[in-house]
Amino acid sequence: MKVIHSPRFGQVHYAEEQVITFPQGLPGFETCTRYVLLPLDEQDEQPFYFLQSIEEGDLSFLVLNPLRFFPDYEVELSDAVVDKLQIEKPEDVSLFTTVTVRGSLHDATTNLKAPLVINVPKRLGKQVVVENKDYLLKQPLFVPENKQANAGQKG
Amino acid sequence: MLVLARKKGESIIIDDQIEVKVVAVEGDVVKLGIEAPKSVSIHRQEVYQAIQEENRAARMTAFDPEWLKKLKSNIE
Repeated sequence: MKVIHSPRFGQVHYAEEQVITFPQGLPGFETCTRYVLLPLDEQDEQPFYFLQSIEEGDLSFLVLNPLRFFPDYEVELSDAVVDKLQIEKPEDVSLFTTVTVRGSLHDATTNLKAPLVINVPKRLGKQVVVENKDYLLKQPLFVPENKQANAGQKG
Repeated sequence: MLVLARKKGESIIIDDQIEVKVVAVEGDVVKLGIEAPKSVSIHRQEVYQAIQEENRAARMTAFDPEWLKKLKSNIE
């Protein structure tokens, strides 16, 4: 096991095979290419995770499995992305979207415009841009029209 | 920065493999046609910049542990 010190989570232990490489980093953080995905709790039954850089302890993101909030969310991967991430079959792919909390949690948004696409078996990732204009850079997580999706989770 | 003048229908070749062609010029709008290997990703600069900014905003700086409870209670 290796260890990274994160101001947020203290000592984070991880195995090399858990590391997900984003060869081009993330836009805005191009030099940080290696991350681990930490479930928000050990039960692993909720859609939230932390994406923690293992190169910069201070760099982490709250990310979400968008399908749990937005069941109709779909992303069409370009040939370029399929090539770069060495994707062989759709089941290899997991999607995550970053969550931005400004002030109160109630105003949290998630970035459906630029999801993180991860080839799970190959541990390769890339943040892609989706052309669909309905998918917003700042999609509110908790809005009235989203209650249905949340209610689905609760039910 | 290299600056080239091109007319409608003319193009430039980058690195022997990417062709950028001026398809149309209408007022202050230039339409470009781009042919590139499929491994090359192409974005409007402002879209990429917006994503950079959103990522910087999403970086966790002051994560309140209370949020975790609320997030969980919201989905449970």
